[in-house]
Amino acid sequence: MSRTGDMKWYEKQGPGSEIAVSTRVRLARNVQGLPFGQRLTQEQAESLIDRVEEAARRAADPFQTVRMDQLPPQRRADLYEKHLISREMMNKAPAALLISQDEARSIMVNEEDHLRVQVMSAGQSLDQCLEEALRVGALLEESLSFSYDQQLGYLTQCPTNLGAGLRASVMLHLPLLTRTGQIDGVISAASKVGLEIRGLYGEGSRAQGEMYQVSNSVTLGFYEQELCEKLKDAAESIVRQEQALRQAFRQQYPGQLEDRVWRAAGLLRYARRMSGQEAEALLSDLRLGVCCGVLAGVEPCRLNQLIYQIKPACLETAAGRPLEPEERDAARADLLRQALAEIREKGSGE
Amino acid sequence: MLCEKCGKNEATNYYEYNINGQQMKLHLCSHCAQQMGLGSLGWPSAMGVPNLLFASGLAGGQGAQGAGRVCSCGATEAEIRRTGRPGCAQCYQTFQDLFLPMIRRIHGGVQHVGAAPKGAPVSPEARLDRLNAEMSQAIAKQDFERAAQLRDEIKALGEQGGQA
Repeated sequence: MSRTGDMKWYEKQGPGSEIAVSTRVRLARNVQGLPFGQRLTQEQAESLIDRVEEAARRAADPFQTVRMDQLPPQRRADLYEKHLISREMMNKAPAALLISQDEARSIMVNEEDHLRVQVMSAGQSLDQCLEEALRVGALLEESLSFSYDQQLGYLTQCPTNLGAGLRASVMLHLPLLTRTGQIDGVISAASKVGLEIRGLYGEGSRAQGEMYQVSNSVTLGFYEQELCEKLKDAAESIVRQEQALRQAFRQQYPGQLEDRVWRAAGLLRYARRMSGQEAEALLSDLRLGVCCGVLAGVEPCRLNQLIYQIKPACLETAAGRPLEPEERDAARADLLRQALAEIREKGSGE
Repeated sequence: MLCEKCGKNEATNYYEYNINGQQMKLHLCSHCAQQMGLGSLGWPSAMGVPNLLFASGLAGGQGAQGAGRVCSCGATEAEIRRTGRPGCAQCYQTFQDLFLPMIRRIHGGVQHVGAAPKGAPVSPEARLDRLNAEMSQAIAKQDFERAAQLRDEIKALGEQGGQA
């Protein structure tokens, strides 16, 4: 994982990024001798932030600390949209996010658990993310004692995270599985093997932009590597199903996919107002077009950035002020026109 | 039929789950369903799972041994039964009889084998498992020197076990 340069992790191209958008590995840890989050006093929560900061500093990992109560609501929403903090954490105080320059490594303090170490990366890169998360966890452990039990492993506030305290997930773009309704079968099959498939923002969220998070639901009784291996196999199998459907659809209905992709490209390139929902749907079509070789002029990683950049809080952060819904739709359309100005037919003008 | 969680309201929602191969059925009122984070998509959120498992049998006042227990953090048995959540790490010990069956239903087992803090006591079985896994990884990476080292450690551990 590169620690140099000013690029954010989501600006980089990752392996298998045609369908696998990003990977996230999260470790839940709690500090010994303190009650879990709900019972933590204000002072204990405050001092915990200082202790984690100190532990991170000793680990010589360059993290910047962002305290939630010192951030304007729009900036907190921006962090949520980027999956750096959870929805609950947006309104929590005292709580803090320690974050690396490239935003790939972060530590949530005082979320549901005392610490949540997170590592994110573009494409499917479970192995690297796991290695990095365990490395950060072990470094913090040199200064902090975590609650651990020989039988139950790392002790977490929610029994669903006991053991490894590990939640690994891969975000997949599955338009054909969605449109054919086959995703329901995939979701139910995954639940039977200790995996879970949810929408873009996890629990209960709808599958915005035909994006799904595939993650492990079991954390106790398996090695971290085993959990990731199982997830990797499942993600690869889902990717193969999506690819087969794409191929079959294009053979059975020649020209239809191309038409839909170009219509999306047309709207994205010329519209002057665009709602978030419309933009997500059109970007999903466009992504499909780029990955199926229908059009060129934009990289999948640029499309990954746009997933976040078209969100309300991100648009407001870029504008530096709160925006009315109409202004936001206009700002979104402007951003998309500029970002996608180079779109062209594959094979032309290269 | 009454809601299986609160036992007061008429159950209007029916859920069927497969958690690690175990089929579960639940009748809930809309209020309890919402409280447990059961979305319209029909599967429980991670937050909902412990509640769900408590609702489906554990909360019914079974295992009345030491009812009214209180953990050092102040969490009471009634609270634990209601929420399915510990107040601190010690709660897992204090209310072990309540948590272990639930943990087994969530994870399918109750023995951790993964990463551990430096110096944490490790059971010989878990240690053997770990060394075997590391050896397989070393072989896969063609790091035969490390694999041989691990093989010797495994052998030594086996001999110790035999003597004990």
